[in-house]
Amino acid sequence: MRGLLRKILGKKDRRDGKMKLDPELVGEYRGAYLARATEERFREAGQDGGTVTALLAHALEEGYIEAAVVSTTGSDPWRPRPTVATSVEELLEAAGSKYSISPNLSALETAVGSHDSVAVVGTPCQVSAVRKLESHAYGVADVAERVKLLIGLFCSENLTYKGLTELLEKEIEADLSSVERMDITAGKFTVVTSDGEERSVSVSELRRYANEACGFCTDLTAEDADVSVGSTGAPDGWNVVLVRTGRGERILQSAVDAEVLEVRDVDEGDPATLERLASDKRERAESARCAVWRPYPTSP
Amino acid sequence: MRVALLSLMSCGSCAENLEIVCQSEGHELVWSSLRDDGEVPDVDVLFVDGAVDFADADARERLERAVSSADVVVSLGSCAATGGFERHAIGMREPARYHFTVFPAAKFADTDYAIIGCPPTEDAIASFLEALEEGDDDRLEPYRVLSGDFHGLDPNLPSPVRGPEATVEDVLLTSNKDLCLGCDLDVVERELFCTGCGACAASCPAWAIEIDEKPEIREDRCIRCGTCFATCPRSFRA
Ligand SMILES: Cc1cc2nc3c(=O)[nH]c(=O)nc-3n(C[C@H](O)[C@H](O)[C@H](O)COP(=O)(O)OP(=O)(O)OC[C@H]3O[C@@H](n4cnc5c(N)ncnc54)[C@H](O)[C@@H]3O)c2cc1C
Ligand code: SF4
Repeated sequence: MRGLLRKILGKKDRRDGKMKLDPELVGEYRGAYLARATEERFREAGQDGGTVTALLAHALEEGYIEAAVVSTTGSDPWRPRPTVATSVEELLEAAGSKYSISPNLSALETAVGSHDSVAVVGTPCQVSAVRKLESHAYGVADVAERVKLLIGLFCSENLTYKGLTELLEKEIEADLSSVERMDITAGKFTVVTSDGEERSVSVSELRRYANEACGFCTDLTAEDADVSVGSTGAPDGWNVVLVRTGRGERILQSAVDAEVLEVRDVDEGDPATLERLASDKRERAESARCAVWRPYPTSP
Repeated sequence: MRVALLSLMSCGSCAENLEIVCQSEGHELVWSSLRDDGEVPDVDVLFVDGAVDFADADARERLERAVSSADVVVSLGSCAATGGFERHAIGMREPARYHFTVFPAAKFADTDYAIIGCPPTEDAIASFLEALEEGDDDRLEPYRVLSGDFHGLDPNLPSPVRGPEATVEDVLLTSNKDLCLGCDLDVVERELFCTGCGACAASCPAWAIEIDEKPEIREDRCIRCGTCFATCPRSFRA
């Protein structure tokens, strides 16, 4: 395994003299891979390959971090709740994507206040917000020093909880409490209910139920993260991983060396689809901007 | 750098953080009104912390004299920049009302930069001083804009704001500066721009922000310090 990563890491990330994925579309990166957890329990609990949860568990066990800001499920079905996980059990409990807004950074002050080294998982906007907290530390101390690993999820848009409920009622005719699994893949939002039935709608339908603010977002792949993880462009049960910084590279390398993650060349997946989605998101933001062109604010 | 501090009506936390930063980062706090008398000596930068009661002629005069002798003047913390705690929670009463004779120091003196925060973290002060020492105008820009005298601003914008990446000047113009740097109890426009990241709730020193998906501000706790607004990733770009 060590040999394989070295082979992949060592190989120049170029295809016909070009980067495998266009940095104009997915941001700067040092390496792009397919990855998944080797252990069944992470793949089972995780949304796709369980890469995020396995990587965090490894970082925790190796002492890179003492805690991780993640999103677990709150009181209502599928309602996300930001939390600070300090054990592998808590990480497993928080695994899996919840498709509504989870203000993860609201747990950041508690995390950096009580731990010397933390990881943060978040959507691209949350990742950028952590970077702003590092350089503009008006209200939260020690973010730059104590956040040791910033993991970004790919994100096309997020829904409000109300929007998610309505989407299920109107488009899918399912009740949130009967939903076993939700996923966004291959341009579809797919739901598996407890009776085993699978129903889906096109992601283009999601827009109406999404957070309006996502319409301005140009960042699909969390360009400010240390490590970005998603599923678009990966085969079923795998993740696409973009490593962007030195510290991200070290942790990923360590997880691969320890056989916590298995990696493959990103070319074995479908990088072109990822590029297309990233490019679509940039264009969509441009039109959103034109659409809301309006005088602001109105006089008091 | 050679640093001086004029401390006005304040709790002292900003001054303490400045002292810590000077010690750890090798800046020299050559004069502080908390321990030195007389005039401000020749320094690279004068920090002013706290608010001023406008009936207090003595304080206003001290401020005026100190400022006139310094090349670079910085509002240190929200009391100096927005009125913050001193204006809104004076006597520990409900912040929902404000003390109408107490103003931020920046109301009475031309300041070049402001460091928002209640108190600003040591990181923020250190990073500002580093940018100042290096003369890094890009990094100084937000501090410069946040130091403006907002009270007389025309709320009608010269050009409409089109998106979250508006320049820091444009975004600031959209808010009600008499009370705060944010959007008058809305960190940023909630529906249109707020992503629901939660940074505002983490940064609020008064525990006034609750967030489930988007921030809810408890007016009875808010001290209009502007920390949430300055922290929000969509108020201006880092
Ligand atoms: C709202 C949303 C939209 C997404 N859209 C896409 C997309 O369009 N294309 C794509 O390829 N991938 C998308 N993803 C990412 C994808 O769903 C997986 O999270 C990613 O592939 C990682 O898989 P994994 O198996 O490693 O995750 P896991 O090991 O299950 O880890 C996921 C981590 O994300 C955290 N998390 C879950 N929900 C949220 C949330 N709402 N906010 C913040 N953190 C959360 C969990 O706590 C956990 O730590 C999206 C994720 C979310 C939350
Ligand atoms: S920091 Fe800004 S974008 Fe994030 S939740 Fe607060 S207001 Fe919204």
